Amino acid sequence: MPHLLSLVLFLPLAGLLAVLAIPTTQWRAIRLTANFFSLLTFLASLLIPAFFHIGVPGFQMVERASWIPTIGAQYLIGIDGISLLLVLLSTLISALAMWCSWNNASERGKLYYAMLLMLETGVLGVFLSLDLFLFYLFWDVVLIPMYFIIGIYGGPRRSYAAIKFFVYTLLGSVFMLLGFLALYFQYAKQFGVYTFDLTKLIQVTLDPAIEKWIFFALFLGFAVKVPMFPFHTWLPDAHVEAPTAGSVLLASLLLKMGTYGFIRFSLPLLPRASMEPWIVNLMVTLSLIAIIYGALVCLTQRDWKKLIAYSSVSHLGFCTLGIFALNQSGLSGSVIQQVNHGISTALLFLLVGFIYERRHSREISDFGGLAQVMPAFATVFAIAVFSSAGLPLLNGFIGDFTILSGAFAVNRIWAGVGVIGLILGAAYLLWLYQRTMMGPLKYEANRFLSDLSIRERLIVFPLVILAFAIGIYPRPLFEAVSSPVQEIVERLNSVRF
Amino acid sequence: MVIAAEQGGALLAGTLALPLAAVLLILVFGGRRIAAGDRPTSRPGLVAATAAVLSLLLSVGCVLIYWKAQNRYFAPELHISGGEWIPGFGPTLGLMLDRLSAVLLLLVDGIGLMVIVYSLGYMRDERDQSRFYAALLFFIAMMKLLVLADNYLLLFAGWEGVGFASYLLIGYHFERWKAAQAATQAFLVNRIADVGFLLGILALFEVYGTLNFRGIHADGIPRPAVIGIASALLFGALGKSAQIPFHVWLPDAMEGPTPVSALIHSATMVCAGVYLIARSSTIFDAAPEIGRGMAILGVATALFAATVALVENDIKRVLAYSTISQIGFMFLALGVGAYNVAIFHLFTHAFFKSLLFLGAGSVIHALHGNQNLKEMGGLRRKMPVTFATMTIAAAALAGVPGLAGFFSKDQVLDAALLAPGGRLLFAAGLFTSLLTAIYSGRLIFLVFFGERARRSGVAPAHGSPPLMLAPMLILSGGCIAAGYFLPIHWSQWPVLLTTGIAALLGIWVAYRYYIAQPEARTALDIRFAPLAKLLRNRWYVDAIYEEQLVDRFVMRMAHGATVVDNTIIDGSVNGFAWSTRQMSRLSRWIDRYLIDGLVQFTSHGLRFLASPARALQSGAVQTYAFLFIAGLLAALGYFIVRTR
Repeated sequence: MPHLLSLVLFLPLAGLLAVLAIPTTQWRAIRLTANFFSLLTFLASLLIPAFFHIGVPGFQMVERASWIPTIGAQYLIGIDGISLLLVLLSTLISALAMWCSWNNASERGKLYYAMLLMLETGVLGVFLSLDLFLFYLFWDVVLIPMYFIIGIYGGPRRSYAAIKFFVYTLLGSVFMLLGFLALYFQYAKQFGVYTFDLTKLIQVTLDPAIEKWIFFALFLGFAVKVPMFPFHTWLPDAHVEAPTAGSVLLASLLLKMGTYGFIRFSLPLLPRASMEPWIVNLMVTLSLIAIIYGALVCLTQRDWKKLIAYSSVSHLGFCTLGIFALNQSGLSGSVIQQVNHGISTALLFLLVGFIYERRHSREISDFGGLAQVMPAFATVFAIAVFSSAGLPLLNGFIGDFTILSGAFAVNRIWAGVGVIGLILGAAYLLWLYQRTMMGPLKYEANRFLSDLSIRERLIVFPLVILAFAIGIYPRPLFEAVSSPVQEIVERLNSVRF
Repeated sequence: MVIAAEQGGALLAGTLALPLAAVLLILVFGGRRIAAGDRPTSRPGLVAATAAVLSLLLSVGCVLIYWKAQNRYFAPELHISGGEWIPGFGPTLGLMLDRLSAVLLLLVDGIGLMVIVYSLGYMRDERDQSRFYAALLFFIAMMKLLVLADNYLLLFAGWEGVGFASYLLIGYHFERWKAAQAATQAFLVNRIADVGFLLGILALFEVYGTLNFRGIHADGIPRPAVIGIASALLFGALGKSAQIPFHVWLPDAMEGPTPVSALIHSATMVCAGVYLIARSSTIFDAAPEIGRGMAILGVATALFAATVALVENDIKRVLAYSTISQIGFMFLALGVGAYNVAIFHLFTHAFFKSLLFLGAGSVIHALHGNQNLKEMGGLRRKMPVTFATMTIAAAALAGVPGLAGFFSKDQVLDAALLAPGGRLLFAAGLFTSLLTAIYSGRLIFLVFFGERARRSGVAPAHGSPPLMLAPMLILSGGCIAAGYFLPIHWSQWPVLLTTGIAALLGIWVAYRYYIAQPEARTALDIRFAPLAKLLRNRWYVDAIYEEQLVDRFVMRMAHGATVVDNTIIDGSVNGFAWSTRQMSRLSRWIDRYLIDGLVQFTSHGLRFLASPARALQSGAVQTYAFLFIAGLLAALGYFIVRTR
C-alpha cells in the first residue's frame, strides 16, 4: 500500500470533515461518525506492521512531496520501529478515548468530537513527520484541540488550566522552533541548500557552542511537554480539569511527544551536546528529581485524578533517565516504557473517569470499600495499579528493569536513586488502592454504584490484555526498537572523542 | 537416558503450567460471589484440590526422573530453556531441577496440597471461594517458578509473584481495615528489600554478563563487586524472610486466613530468602564477611523474635514470631556456610510450623474466630486430634529429642559452633532454643490445659471436620520423620545432649509457670515489669517505624515536596504569568496614556488651533449666506473706499 501512512494520518481529519458536515442536532450521528473514523484509523494502522520490515535500518514507507518550496519545507513522513510503536499506541488510545465519551455526548458534542479527531491527526503527524517544519506544524496543531477540550468541556477551573497548558507549551515550542531554524540556517551555510529534511540535517557539523544552544532550545520545547522537573506544574491542572478522554490522550500520547522529540531530534541531530557530561548529568539529575519528587507529591494528594497526574511526572522521569543513559538498554527501555505508561495510565485515567461519572467526586476520602460493590472494577484497577507499580509479568516491569539496567551500566548511583522511585511508586499506588477499594464501605452513597458496564469492560479489555502480553512476552517490542535505537547509539558513539 | 531427562524438562514446564491453568479455570468458570445466606459453591475448591494433586504428582515425576538420570548418567540437573524473556539479558526463560530445587518443589506442592484440602473444610463458609483458591494456586505456581528458575531474572519474577499472591491473600478479607493495611504494609516492606535484590541482579549482569546460575562463579571477580552483590542479595532475602530490620510485616500478615499463614507465611514463601542465599552460595562463599554479618543478624533475629513470642497473646502472632525466630536459625546456618543445614532446617520447619498453623486454625475455627490465648484453655478433651497433632508439632519446634526440629536445630548449632568465633553464636542460639521450648510449651498449656476462661456470650467449642484433621495427621507424621533425612551427627554428642536438655528444660519452665504454679508467673511479671513491657511492645520496633520513619520522615518529605510544588515551582509559573499580565497592563497604560496620549495631544492641539476656523464652519447655509453677503459687501465697500 503506497500511501498507507498518509491514509492513517489523514483518516481522522476526514472524520473531522464528516463530523462538521453533520448538523449539530444530530449528535448521535456525530458520535457514531467520530467513533467510526477513529476505529477505522486504528484498523488501518494495524496494517502498518504488515508492510513494515523489522530490523531494516532507516525510515520506511517514506512519502515525500514538495510543500513550500520557497523555504524548503516538504511533506515528508516515514516510520521506524520507535515511531511504529507510538503510532499504534496513538491510534488505539485515540479510539478508546473516543469511545469512553459515549455517554457524555450531547448537543455540545460536535466541536468535542471534531477536536478529538483533530488531536489524533496532530499526534500522528508528530510521530510520523521527518521534516522539522512539518513536525513543528503538527506539534502546535495538537495544542489547539486540547485547549478547547480542556477549556470548554473541563471542570470548574478549566479556563485557568487550559490557558496555562496552552501558553506554557507554546512558549516551549517557540524555543524549539528557534532551535530548528538555527539548524536550518547552519545547514544552509554549509551545504547551500535550505531544507528541513531530518535525514539531511543530520549531516550538519555544528560548532560545539552553537550545538549546545540548539540543544537547550529544543530542550525547552520537549521538557515542557514531557514534562520534566521543574516544568511540570501545568500537568496536574490540565489533567484534573480535562474530561476523561482529554486526560487519557494527554497522559498517554501528548507527554510522549516530548520524550519522542528527545529521541528523534536531540540525540541524533545534536550528538555532541547530548553527550556533553555536564548536560547528561543535568538531564539525569532532573530525571531523578522528577522520579522521587513526583512520587513524594503523589503521597500527599487527596484528589484521585491529581494523584495519577503526578504519577506521570515520576514515570516519565524514568523515561528521560533511560534516554540520557544513552545506551541500548536505556533507550529501548525508555521507548518501551513510554508505550507501557501509555497503557497503564490510560487505564488509570479511564477508571477514575468511570467512577466520576457515577459518583461525581474524585476525593479519595469519599470512597473506601468499593471492591465490595464493584468487583470487576476493583480487579481492573488492581491490574492497572500493579502494572504501573512495575510488578513482573505485567508490562511496567519490563521497561523499569531495562531502563534501570541501562542507567546502572553508566552510573550505579543513578540506578540506586531510581529504585527509590519504585518503592515510593508502590507506596502511593497501593495506598490509593487501599483507601478507595479496600476496607469497610464508608458511605451509603457508594453502596449502589454499578459495576463496569459492557461498554466499559470492552474499553479496558484491550489495555488489560496488552499489559499482560507485554509483561509476559515483550520480545516483539524489543525487536521493533532494537535497530533504530542501535542506529542512535552508534551515531552517538561515532562522535565520542 | 537422555530422552528421559528431556521429558523431565517438559514435565517441569508442565508442573508450572498446571496450577496456572487451574487459576484461569477457576477465574473463568468459578462463578460469582454470592449473597449472604446462600451456600457457597464448592467448585473452585474441588478444582484447586484436583490441580494440587496433579501438580504434586507431576513434581514427584520430575524428581524421580531427575533421581534416575542422576544415578545412572550423572546428569547434573533437569533443564528446559525457552529463549529470552527480556531481550538483552541472555536466555532468561529456563527451568532447572537440581537437589536444592527438588527439596523445595516437593515441599511447596506437598504442603500446598495439605493446605488446600484443609481449606475445603476451613474456608467452607466463605463467600468468595474463587478468589481464595485462584490466589492460592497462583501462589503455588509462582513459588514453583521461584524455585525452578534457572536464572536470577525469572527467579525475581517468581519472587515478586509470590509477594503479589501474599498481598492478595493477606488482604483476602479486604473489607476489614486491618487486613487491608497489613496487605499493603507487607507488600511495601518487601518492595524496599526487593529493590536491593534488583540492584543485585543488575550488578550480577554487569559482572558476569549473564544471569544464569551456571554462569555465576567467584574466580577473578573483584572483591568489592562480590561484596556488593552479596549484600544486595542478602538485603532482598532479609525482606522476604522477615528478618531484622524487615520483620514487622510478618506478624501483621496474620490477618490473612489461617491456611494461608500455614502455607505462605511459615512453610514456603518466607523461606524464599533462605533459598536465594543457598542458591547463591558461590557468591557468599567468596564474601565471608557478609556471611559473618548474616550469622549475627540471624541469631539476633532468632533471639529477638523468641522473646516477643514469649509474651504474645494472639495464637497466630506467637506462631508468626516463632517463624521469624526459626528462619533466624536458618540464616545463622547460612551465615556460617552450612547451606545444606539451613535447607534441612527449612525442610523440618515447614512440617511442624505449617501443622502448628493448621492446628491453630482448627482451634480458632472451634472458638468461632477467637485468637486470644488468654481466652482459651482446656480444649484437649474437646479436640483430641488437634491436641495430639499440635503437641507433636510444638514438641518438634521445641526440639524434643527424636522429633524433626531437634535434629535440624542441633545441626544448625553444631555448624555455628564450628565456625570461627562461633561460641557466642552457639550460646545465643542455645539460649534461643530454651526460649523456643518455653513459648512452645506455653502455647500448648494455654490452649489445651487448664480451664477455659469464658467470656459471656461466647459459643461453646466444636470439633473440626475430617477434611481439616486429615492433613494435620499427615503433617504430624512429617514432624516425626523429617528429622531423619540427613545423617545424625552422633560424633557431636555434646551438642546433641545440650540442645536436648535445653528443650526439656524449657518445657519444664513452661509447665512450672503455666500449669503448676501460675501465681509464680504473676510474681515474675511484676518483678520484671519493665522487661515485660518492652517485650509486649515488640521492642517498640513497629512503633518506631510507623511514627519515626513513615510519619516523621517520609510523609514530612512528601508534604514538603507538595508545598514546594504548590508555592515555589507552580508559584513561579503563576508569578511569571502574573508579571506578564502586569507587564501587559503597564504597557496598556503606557499605550493609552503616553503613546496614545501623545497622539491625542497632537490631535487635540491641532483641534484647539483650528477651533476658530471650525467655529466658522457651522454648516448652516444662512450663516454662510450671511457671511458671503457680508464679505461681498465689505469687499465692495473696500474697493469703493480705495478708488475714491
